[in-house]
Amino acid sequence: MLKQRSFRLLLLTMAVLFLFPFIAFTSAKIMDDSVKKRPDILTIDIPSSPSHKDMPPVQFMHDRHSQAVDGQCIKCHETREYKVKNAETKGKAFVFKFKRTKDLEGQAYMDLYHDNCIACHVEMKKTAEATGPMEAQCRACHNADFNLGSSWSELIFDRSLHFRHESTKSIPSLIKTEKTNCNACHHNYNEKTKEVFYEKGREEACIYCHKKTGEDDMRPSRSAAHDSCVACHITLKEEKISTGPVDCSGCHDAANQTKINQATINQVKEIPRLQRNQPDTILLTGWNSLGTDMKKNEKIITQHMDAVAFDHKTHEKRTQSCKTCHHESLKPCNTCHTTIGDEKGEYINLAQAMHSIDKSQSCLGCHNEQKKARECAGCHFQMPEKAFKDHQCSSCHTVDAKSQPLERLIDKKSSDEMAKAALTDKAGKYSKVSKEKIPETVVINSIADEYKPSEFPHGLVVQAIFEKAGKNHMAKAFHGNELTLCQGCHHNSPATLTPPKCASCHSETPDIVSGKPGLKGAYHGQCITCHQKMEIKNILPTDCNKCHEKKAS
Amino acid sequence: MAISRRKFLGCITAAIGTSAVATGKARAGSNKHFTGHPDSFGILHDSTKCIGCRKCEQACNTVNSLAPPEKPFDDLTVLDQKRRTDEASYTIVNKFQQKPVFVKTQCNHCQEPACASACFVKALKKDKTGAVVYDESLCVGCRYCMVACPFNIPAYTYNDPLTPKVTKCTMCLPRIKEGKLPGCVEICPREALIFGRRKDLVKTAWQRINKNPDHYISHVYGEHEMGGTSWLYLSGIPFEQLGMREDLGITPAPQFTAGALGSVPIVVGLWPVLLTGVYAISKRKEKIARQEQEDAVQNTKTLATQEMNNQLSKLKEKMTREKETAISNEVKKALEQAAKKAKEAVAEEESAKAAEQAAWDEDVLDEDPASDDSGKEEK
Repeated sequence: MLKQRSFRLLLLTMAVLFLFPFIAFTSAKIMDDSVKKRPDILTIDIPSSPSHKDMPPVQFMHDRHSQAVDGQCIKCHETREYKVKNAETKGKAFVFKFKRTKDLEGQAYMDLYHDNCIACHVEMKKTAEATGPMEAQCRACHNADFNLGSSWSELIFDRSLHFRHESTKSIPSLIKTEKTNCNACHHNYNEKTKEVFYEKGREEACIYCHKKTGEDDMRPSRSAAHDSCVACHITLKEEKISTGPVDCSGCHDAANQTKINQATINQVKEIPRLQRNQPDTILLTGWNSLGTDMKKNEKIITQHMDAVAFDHKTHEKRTQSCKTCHHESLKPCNTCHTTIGDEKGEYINLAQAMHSIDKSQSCLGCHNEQKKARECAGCHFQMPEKAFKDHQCSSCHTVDAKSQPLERLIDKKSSDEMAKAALTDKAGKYSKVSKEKIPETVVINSIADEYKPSEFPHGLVVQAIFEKAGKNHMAKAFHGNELTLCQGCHHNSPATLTPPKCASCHSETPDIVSGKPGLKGAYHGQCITCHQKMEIKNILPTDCNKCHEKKAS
Repeated sequence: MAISRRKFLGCITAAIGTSAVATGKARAGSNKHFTGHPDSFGILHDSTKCIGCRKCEQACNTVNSLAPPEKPFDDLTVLDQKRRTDEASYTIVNKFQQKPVFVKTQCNHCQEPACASACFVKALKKDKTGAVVYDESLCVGCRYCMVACPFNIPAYTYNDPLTPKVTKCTMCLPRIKEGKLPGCVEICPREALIFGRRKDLVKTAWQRINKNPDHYISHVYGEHEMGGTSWLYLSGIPFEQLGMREDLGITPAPQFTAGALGSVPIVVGLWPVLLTGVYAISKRKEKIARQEQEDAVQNTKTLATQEMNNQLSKLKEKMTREKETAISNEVKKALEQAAKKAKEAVAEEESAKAAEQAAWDEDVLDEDPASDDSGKEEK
């Protein structure tokens, strides 16, 4: 009896010993998985350091360190004085470099980190429970395996955020004579005197000058943004005024970004327009960038496309920020994209700039992108993106400028008014289809076989489409006649109340050479694809009986 | 026996030459440029259209009078598990990813089927319609086709112990011959399957991709895979994510073996000749070498004998001469002695003459023995 028991014990011990490495391994793995990606990872990599080849770069968790020092930036960062020209205020701001104001090289740079990091860790060890690695623990920081992965995501400073900064009382104007606080952030740069100054009405986006990588003595966008945004937030926080985030995750964590968007601070229903003297409407023409004296070359106008009446005000509302279209500067498009193309616009001429399908800042590119939205995709998915040549020019090029007096065309103000008139005219022409003329039910029975004919609630579907299109500004503008919405299903048919039957084009079997589906494919394809793209969940593609009942066998 | 460098190189050159001839022949004999039977049929499966209704499975079951499934065809929970073709289902639909993508799986009816090339009784054949057909009456049940198939399609009726057979999609060849569409194609509500000439389907597939490049990945699966298949596929996501192998390459399976197998007759026919030739050449060389060696030996032998004879005769001469000299010396000596003796004798005689007259008898006795010795040696 005793022998048997001891034998069992032995077996158990062996089993445990055998499994131990696996148990240890799996638990370690679980721990690894529980470490989430962080938005605050800074990679400290010094290529000029003598041991750069031997040691992997350090993955530094910024937020964890700022928490450890109770948010006292001064523990790691130096300060500098700043001054805006023609603003009287001077101030101190942190330099967002570790313990230095200017970049170093080689050994000195490396020592700066080693000396300060380790010294602080040693200091912390005396009081704090946990602290970072110390002398001779090189691999604790320089560890290639310790790769947390970054969840950093770019913060988009959209119109809403801009308005919240613009309207807050926490950010006063730095210049006494100015009523608006634009000058608190925006500045211009004088290349000759190498000084910054502020000029009202010439504010632009930071990224136009502060490029992502930084050029010459211009700070890269990252430094420029942190030097302005974070520095200001810190100052306000010190003054106990409610302000924006001061840590990495506050701006660069996806979850926090949603919080920012939903935050109620200064949130308004309708964001007011930016005030920079921009026009409401613009007459976009091909000729006004030519630089020739129009009065002498009157003929030039007749050689161009009809002008486009552009609703600048409406587009402002529907875009994230000015940068959505004005990707390089807030100047008019044809400053760089001239009619024939120019070095300034990288030889992309005006026509290309406005019509490229693959560029989000071009008219067609952006409009195509909009058509991928759920409400539009039901119909538009099945109409693949048209090439530039297949578009109807007249849907945008509506203003026949040739019939207008030359003086009006040359004058900016009157030409923009011309555009306004054209837009109002177009909006007035919006034509609706009366409900009575739309068939309520359509029985589809031409190929009924296994299932009973389908009673298609035509009226309901049409009304739903009309309603969705009516709510969407872009759809309303381009579907000026509601009948064009019928062409979503009755494709290749003219916009008419009496479109031909599906069977007038689709035969029973698919036409492989032309790629035209057969009747069964056409019906199911039209309905199912539209339901899938519009994410209609109550009728699934495999719910056969919801559209047509099965015949009793 | 150590092989000489020259001989070794000779052999190598000969071997390379033969193999080059052999493979050249094999390529010409194989079907390298076979691009499928002209006007063969195919089926294009657009997985972006498939809704996973399993109607094709149902139709396949009915058309081929297969055993009824465990769960009915309208039970879509079956799709939650990945399945493969078996003896009771020639085709199955599998579901992939969260936002489901459905793919139908069945025999792809390769242009140059691996199964047919593996079958040594020709139970599997590529029909000119495009279908890979199976002849049960020829099958010996080796199941090499199941091993050979890169798509893992053929199944075997293991549950039938007496007349087991290999089962797979027939591309509904009997129906095609009647002018009907394959069962699955006919029933597909979404026209996710279309039947037609393969060359037209390739065009249609590319037409769809080009017309809607965002919707499809730029790849028609089966256009080139394993030398091309009659069944073609379109997808919006990489085929690898649909459980379809992308590592197959574009070489048809039979070509992997055609080179080696095609050279068998040449190797069998030519190698004996070649080897005999190589053997004969090396033999002849050996013979010549032996002859040369023998000649050399003979030569040396004669030369040595001559030399020896020369030396011998020289020695003989020398010896004779020495002997003669010795003899002559001896003779001289003897003569001198004799002369001396004679002188002495004369002197004695004179002294005796002078002294005596009495001892005349003794003088005659001394003279006789000396004259006897010289006479003997001369002989």
